[in-house]
Amino acid sequence: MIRNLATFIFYAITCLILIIGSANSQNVIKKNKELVIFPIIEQNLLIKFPKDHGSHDQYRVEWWYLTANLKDQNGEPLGLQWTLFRADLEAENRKNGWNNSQIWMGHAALTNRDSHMFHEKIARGGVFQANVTTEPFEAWIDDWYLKGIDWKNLTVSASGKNFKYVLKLEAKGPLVKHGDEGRSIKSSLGLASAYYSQPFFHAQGWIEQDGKRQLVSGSAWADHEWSNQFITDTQDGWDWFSLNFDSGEKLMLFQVREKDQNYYYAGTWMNASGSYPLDPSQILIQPIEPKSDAHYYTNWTIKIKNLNLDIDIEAINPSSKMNTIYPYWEGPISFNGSHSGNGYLEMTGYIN
Amino acid sequence: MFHNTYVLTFLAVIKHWQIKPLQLFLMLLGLTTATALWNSVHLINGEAKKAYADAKIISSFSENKMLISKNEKDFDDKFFGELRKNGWPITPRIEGEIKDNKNGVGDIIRIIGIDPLSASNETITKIFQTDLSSDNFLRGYRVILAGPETAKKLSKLTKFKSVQVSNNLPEGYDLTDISVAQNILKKRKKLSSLHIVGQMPENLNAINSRGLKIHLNENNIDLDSLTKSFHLNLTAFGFLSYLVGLFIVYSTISLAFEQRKAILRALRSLGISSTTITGLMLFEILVISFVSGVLGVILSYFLASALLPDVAITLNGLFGAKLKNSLSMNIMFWSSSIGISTIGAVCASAPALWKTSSLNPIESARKIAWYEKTKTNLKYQIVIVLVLLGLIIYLFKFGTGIFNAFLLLGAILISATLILPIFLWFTLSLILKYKFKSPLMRWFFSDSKQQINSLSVSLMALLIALAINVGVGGMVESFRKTFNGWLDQRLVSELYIRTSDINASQTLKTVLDGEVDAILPIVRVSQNISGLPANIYGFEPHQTYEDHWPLIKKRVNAWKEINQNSGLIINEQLSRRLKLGVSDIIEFESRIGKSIRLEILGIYSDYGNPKGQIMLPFELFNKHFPDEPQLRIAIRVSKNSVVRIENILNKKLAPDKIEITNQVDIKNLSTKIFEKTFEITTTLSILTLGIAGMALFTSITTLGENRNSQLAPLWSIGTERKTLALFEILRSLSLSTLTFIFAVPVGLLVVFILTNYVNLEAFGWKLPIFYFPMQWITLCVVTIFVTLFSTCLYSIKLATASPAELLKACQYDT
Repeated sequence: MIRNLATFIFYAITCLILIIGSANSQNVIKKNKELVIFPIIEQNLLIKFPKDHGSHDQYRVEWWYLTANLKDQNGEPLGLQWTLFRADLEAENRKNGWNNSQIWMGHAALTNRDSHMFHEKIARGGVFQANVTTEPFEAWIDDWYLKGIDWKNLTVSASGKNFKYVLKLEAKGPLVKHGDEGRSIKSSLGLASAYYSQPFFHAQGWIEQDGKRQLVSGSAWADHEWSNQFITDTQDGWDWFSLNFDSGEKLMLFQVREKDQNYYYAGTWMNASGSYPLDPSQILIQPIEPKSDAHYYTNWTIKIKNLNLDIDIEAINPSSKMNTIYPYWEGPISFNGSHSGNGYLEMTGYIN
Repeated sequence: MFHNTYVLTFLAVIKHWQIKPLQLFLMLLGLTTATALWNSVHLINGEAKKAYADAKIISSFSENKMLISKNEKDFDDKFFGELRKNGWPITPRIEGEIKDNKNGVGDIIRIIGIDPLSASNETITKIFQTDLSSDNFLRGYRVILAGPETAKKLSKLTKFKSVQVSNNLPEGYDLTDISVAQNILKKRKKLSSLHIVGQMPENLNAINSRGLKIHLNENNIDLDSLTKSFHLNLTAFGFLSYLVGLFIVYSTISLAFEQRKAILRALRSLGISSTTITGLMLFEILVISFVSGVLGVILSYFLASALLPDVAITLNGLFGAKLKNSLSMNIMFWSSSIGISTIGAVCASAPALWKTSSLNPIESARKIAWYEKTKTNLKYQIVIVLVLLGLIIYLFKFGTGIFNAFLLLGAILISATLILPIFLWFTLSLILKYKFKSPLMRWFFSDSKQQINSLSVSLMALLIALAINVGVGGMVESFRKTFNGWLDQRLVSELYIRTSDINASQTLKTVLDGEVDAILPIVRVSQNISGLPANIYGFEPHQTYEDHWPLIKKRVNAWKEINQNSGLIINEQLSRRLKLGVSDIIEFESRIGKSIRLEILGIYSDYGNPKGQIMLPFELFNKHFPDEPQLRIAIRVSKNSVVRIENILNKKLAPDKIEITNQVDIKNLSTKIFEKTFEITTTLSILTLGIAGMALFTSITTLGENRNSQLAPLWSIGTERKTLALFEILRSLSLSTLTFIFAVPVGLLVVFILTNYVNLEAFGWKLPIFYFPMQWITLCVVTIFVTLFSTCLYSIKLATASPAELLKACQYDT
């Protein structure tokens, strides 16, 4: 569909500031004096719950992200995504009703081997079309929601043109703070975000595709992250993995692609009793040629030497591009090798 | 020397106007009036078209369906977020007006506040056609878009400095982000409407509990096509007046040619080529038409200014179109006006110019054999009439649409004008069969007969004007009579009340219980039925409707079936446009978009309503449109108790809760709108008659110039000058009276076409025809006066002519 230019410009500008980040975000900060007053994530970051499940309006960008690896009634793998993004257009942080300077964006997707359905919503802040509250927890945009009394039990729901889903999520493990007490570094220059996850959700509910409803169950993974800036102008984008091992252990892993090929790596190993960050020097993330289409790699090899991990990753559906206003690739994966399991892959910043 | 020849020849040619200044004056007057009438109609149509185009742009920013508060006032903006959370695909809108008081002009600027994020893609495309980055629209600068003039005013008027000129926006409007609009309008935390941009949820509780209702965007009606017929009507009248005006030019120029023949022949004998003479005469016409064009523009401005308020009231009353009460004239208008004047003048003088170019200098100066010429002309006319009659029969049988209706009207009028000389010829021939005792009487009729040709053009103009006057007058009076009777039927309730909310309605019902004869609530929803904007009314079946509702077609037991909820009734417009009759099934949508199919039990007349209408008994209405609040209530009460009931209501309910309208007030308002509608056509038809009168005056006056030579022999054989003058008056009178007699049936045919074809196409309803002989008598008297006035100048001159003049005329008679 050819969208009109004006809408595209508008959304594109909004999205430039959003999570996906962009090559010139650093420039934006330097050139536009207004933007520098956004605070950075300090070293002494102290994340507290339930307060920090909510919105951090003083920061420019924030998201609540849920992905689920499910099985349908026939035992076929199925991926599900629910995301709420928040971005502030101005550092002044205007909060007053329609005058609010925040933009919210929702993405939802349902992916199986044959199809990848997605939908996008956009809203302005201040008028409760989209917002996040903490007690009880509720993140919503229009009639899409992720809500519950706390992060132990949540319900998620969204719908698109030909799909709809409602899942109940029950946490079977603790919340995990990435990096140093939740301060997750994204570049060698020290750019950081506040980032924690709940990777231990058991998910159960129903999905509807083209009017057909069926029961589904599996695991789900929730992320909450906020920052002033995610990548610098020397970086193109990132490849992010959430891996569920058959053993019940979890691995969060990403590489931020530097323009000079000197990539930045980070990861967290998690199980029900605890978690620890990985040593970046031990991480090897390599795409396997050829690309699934002109832009994205959907087969990867991951090695973590000190964990004796050597796995090959394959997308459940290579055509899982989120053809939203700012496109990226996000879809369920499965992996085999030294370990096996499933998970989710996100690739941003590729030329589209 | 070379130039001198042209100058001298031109001076010789135009010398004629110095001798006959009246002729020049009449020609200027004719051409000026014709141009002015034609232009004023165009000026009005142009202004209206601009207003429609503006309305179209503005309404293109709106969706078809929207939520508004049940009391149709602004409402709390928190509903937006709440309803979006309930799955309602809505985008907010705040609208309002600010007055440009600071400039002392008091122009109204309409502010429209939108939310570009939730608006539909289509709307966004339309709004951001400019170079404006939509990012700026929303960021701290919060740009206000406005047309160039409005932008200037707005910059002075508000503290917002980020006004950006947009050539896509009509003047008088400004478009901005909702936050800015709320500030400007001082409507913080308020919304006017929530436009629906997608599929509505089935559950309506969410909107009902917030006091909102679904409303059809009535501004999305295509005003252009809806009012097309109305404007075509104006154009037709303008053209008719223009045509009648050109008759004057034609008769004056033709006569001037006859009178200038001698000098033209002399010029040819002096060796000046016919091309030069024709060229100079053409130049003369161009100068005259230029002057008339300029005068025509000025006159048309005043005329259009005078007519515009009526047109504005009509278009607003009938179609909801809003026109500004100001006219704008640009260079295009000036040039087209002068162009129209020139084209008309050149066409009207073409025959005379043609004759000039083929003028033979040695041709004997014999007078035209009038009788023979008339006979030949009549033969041609009969042929044309036969062709036109064929066209008329074809159009009667197969013609549809407003254009064909006007074509039919045109063909009938042209045929009638061509038949007129034939009619006069045969009538006078019939009279001449009578053996007159007085030879003078015989001469009188024979002479009249031979004058038909020279007077025929102005008599034709008179015929058109009279026929139009009989036609339009008949239609207007028929309408007035029907409309008043119909209003008595439709507005039978004594009081019509509108309440602000459902509680007020409830209080009203409690207060009036036992005090009045009947309380009849009426509810309304809007919807497009097969692309036609329509209102669906819910009503409580009651004896009042059965006794008074004007059903023009119905099932035998229509009301009984309505009481049993077996079907509905629709208005004539809807029936005609959807081609649905009694016992047919009509299909429309319930509130949630489900198809409803119900039987039509009756069709009622609904004059003045451009929209379709359905009347559903309450039980059926509530089934398909549940929870629509009853805010409109009709009250039946004895006439004596009206004031008492009004007092009770005013005492028990606060003024902001209730709006009481008296039956009489509604009737007056409705009648006023229609008076205005037809006032325009009446004014134009009277102006046409005025011009026709002038045409007659011109013809008779100019003809008089030649008459002496024909009358002198009679004087020489002993007829007194006074008698001759009286004969001249009688001759004109008899010819114009005969024309009037002929005009009446033509006028009735015009009424028939107007009511059965033009109105039907223009408004969607048919009027019964009534006859108004008193109107005809008045017109006849007017015609006699016009004729008398036209003849008197010449007759007085004849009665007081010196014998020498008449003798001189005898001398030159050949």
